[in-house]
Amino acid sequence: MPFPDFRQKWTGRINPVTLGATPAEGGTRGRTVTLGGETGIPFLNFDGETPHSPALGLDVLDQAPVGWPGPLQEAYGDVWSDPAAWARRARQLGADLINLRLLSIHPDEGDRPPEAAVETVQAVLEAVDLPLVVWGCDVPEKDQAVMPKVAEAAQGENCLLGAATEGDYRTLAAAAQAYGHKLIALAPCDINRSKQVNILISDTGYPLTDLVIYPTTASLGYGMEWIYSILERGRLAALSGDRLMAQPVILDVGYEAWRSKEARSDDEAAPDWGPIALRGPAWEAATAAALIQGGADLLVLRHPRALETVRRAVTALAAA
Amino acid sequence: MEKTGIGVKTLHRIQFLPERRQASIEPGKTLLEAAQAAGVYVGAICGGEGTCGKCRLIVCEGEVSGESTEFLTRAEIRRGYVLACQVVPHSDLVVEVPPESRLSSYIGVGRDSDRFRAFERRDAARVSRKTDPVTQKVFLELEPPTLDDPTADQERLLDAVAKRQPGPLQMGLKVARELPRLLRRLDAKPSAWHWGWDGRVTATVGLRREVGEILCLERGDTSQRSFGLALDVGTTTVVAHVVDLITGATREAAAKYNSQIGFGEDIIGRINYARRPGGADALHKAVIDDVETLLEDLLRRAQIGRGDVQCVVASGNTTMLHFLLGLETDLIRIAPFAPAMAAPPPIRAAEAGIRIHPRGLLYVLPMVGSYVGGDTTAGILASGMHRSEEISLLLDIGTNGEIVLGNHDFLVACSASAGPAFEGASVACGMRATTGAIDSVRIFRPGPIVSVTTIDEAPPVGFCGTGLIEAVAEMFLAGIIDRNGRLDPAAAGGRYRLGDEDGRPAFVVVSAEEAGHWRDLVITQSDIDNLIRTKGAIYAGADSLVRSLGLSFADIERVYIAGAFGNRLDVAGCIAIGLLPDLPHERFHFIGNSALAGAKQAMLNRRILDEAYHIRDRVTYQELMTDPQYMDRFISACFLPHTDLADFPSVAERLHGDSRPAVLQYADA
Repeated sequence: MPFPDFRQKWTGRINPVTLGATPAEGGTRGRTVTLGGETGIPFLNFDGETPHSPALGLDVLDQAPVGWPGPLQEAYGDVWSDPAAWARRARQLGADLINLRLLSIHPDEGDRPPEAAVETVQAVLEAVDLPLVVWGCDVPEKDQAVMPKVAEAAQGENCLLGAATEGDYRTLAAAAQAYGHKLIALAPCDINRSKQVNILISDTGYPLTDLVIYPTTASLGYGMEWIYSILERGRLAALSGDRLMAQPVILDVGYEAWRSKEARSDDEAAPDWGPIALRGPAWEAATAAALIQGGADLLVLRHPRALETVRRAVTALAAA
Repeated sequence: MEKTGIGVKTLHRIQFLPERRQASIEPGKTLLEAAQAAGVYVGAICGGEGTCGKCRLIVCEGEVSGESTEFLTRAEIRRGYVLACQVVPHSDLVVEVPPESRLSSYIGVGRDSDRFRAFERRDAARVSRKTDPVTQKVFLELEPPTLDDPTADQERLLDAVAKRQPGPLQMGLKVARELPRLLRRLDAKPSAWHWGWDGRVTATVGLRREVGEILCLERGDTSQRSFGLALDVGTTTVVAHVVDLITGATREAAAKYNSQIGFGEDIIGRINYARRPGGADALHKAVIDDVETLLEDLLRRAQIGRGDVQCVVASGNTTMLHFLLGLETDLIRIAPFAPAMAAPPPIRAAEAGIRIHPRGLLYVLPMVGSYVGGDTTAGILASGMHRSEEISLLLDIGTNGEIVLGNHDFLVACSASAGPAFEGASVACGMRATTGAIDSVRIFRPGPIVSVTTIDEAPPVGFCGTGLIEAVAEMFLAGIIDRNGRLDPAAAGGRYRLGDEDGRPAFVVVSAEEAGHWRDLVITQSDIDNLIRTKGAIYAGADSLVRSLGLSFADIERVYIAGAFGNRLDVAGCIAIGLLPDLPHERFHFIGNSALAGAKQAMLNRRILDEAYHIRDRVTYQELMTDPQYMDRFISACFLPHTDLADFPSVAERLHGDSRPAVLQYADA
């Protein structure tokens, strides 16, 4: 009996979205990173192509983090009060991009003015030549004041700006469009809501093909399978030709994994769980390794060992 | 203050303006209870829980105390506004019921009865004109008994009736006791009794399923005086028509707000109220009193005696019919949603408390389940969808959103628990479709310039359901709200307001100056969000029902729209917001109050009453909550007009070329 042909014919394709711009392209980046472009299910190379392996970014905060556990402090404690130094560390560790969070502009976290945010972004852009993802603080009024200035300051660098939501998308979409940046569209855990946010953004004239979608993230043991199924459903819809789901996906794995008690509990509190130095990175890597198979194109990570492990997993899967 | 008989307790006398009604209440009772005691309607959607903010009153004189509430603005508190359910009088009071809380309890009978009659005329063409009503009068001329034929009076009567009305018959003892004296003229003297034969009687035969019951006998020929009462007990409105059973004509019509509103605006609120001690009795009495009020008025206007009304046919949702019959309602609320009674047999109307002929019958239209009631059975009857080969969709756009799909081969139904978003009650400037209600809105850009029309061309007071839908549709088409329903301050221009207390935005449709009203008439962000959820529930319910049978909306040849909107609903606006599927307009048919129309048809024709039972047995109920795709469809439908614009090509066309490019504006930090 001949072995039946199980290959799927897909009609759709994930939009390729390139971040960063080299001097030839009007920016100052040493290289660019392209997300998406898949024509089949992740890593099923007989079905379709996965021209760009999932990109791995490392988190950089614009102020010293509070309450980060020991393993992260060991990795970044000496640089984390200086975003530029932290970004350089991330580049040394092998990140594809820098994921910069403007936490200090939050009204409860220092309420720093737009000018301070612009300064930080410029410092990071000068310190490393990697493409940049920049997130606001999730307070619409403040983000509306800060993000257009940041977008203007980073003009030409083709950054990825986050995050536009159903309630707050106009200013960010307009800023991204005016200064040539890509945009993150955030809709928690629901394909239809995700489509709706994409429609709202596209109704302002911003191209659907420049969007990266963020369906939120959950870590291993905290609902990861839900996000996984959302990712997979979205991906299948996109490959079947749904233009509104054809955007590459960004997931915030590091942040979620390091909220779990498995990653945070110190050795005295959890004597049977193995050393914290391994537990947190392992939790982060396991979450990431699972989610890349559902269809994630950009993973934001934190710990160097997680980055290293996920990179190995991606390489192995891509070669299979 | 007045002293009670014991002289210990002091009652507070509360006067309500502008009607000057009064009530005396014990200390500790709320102002809402005082209003109920005085028979003054004050909107209380939540049944007195303090969570709806609708029972707004103005204290003009006297002292009250109570909880603070977020439902009143500082300006309103300074004007003396209180929430009636949250304050307790401390002295005699003079209280004004402001227009937005006021509800003339009696619906403008002239206009509404005309409106309801219009539907009846349209239905008349479809239904056989020959009446065969559920109760009928038969005039008989009986031969006197003789020595050769000494048949008993009762048999003599039954035989004669059976010749005219074939089928099994029954007669109660009470009628049998009266029988000899009705058939004869008794000349009773102390010396001797003389029985003179007459034999001319009119028998009223009421149908009890397959058996005819001789309900009563009258001397002589009264067969031309035969009437029935058709009732639609709605959650919001009770409608009653007196029907001439000989001609089939409606003699008089009347409508009234359901007095149960004071105990809770929706059915769940009322079921909850019924669980309180005495609550169920209060709700039963409220609706029976409403029926009595309507009946009294109808009899006076039609010049008919109570004894001439021999039957009542009642339609309504399952909860309302349970309250009408005084049945346990709590089971409707809780899984597995098994009601007390779904197909009540005909009973004496007097047993339920309805005062027609003492032996007259009450027919309650059969219900499909807890959330698809006798009103839906009636709607199917009235639309005739169950007789047609064409596939039809029936949408009852009321509080509960029942949906039926089918034809002469199959019928499936679901309930989309739409909520009261259309009914004016939970809308910031909402009101029912009475004088002064905005029922049509047009918005022109730039400006935006708004023009409205109101019912009776009176100064605008608020929005009825039709006006709300049109306002939101126009705001959407004018780009003032986005596809998610969010107000865009830039597009709203000078008509943009930030809410007084909740900080949420609103769009001013008619400003206070334009309205000659003390407040702006606004559509708030919450109104829009509620409307989108409600229309999403109805559309997703219909979508699920249609798809569950492997059909698409394009296969639906007729869409019947029933409900309080009557024939004043803008189809284009309803499609623009995605309440109705994007089909050619000629496929939509407004059948108005189909619950009442169906009840009348069943009253006038025994076969149609039978049909109601067959329909009930044929309808398959689909529980949307157990359909895993319903939630997906609901979220998809919670967008304007829908996430999938391809399903709404006519709306896409109206929006085309109207998209506004993003303009970068710096917000102030």
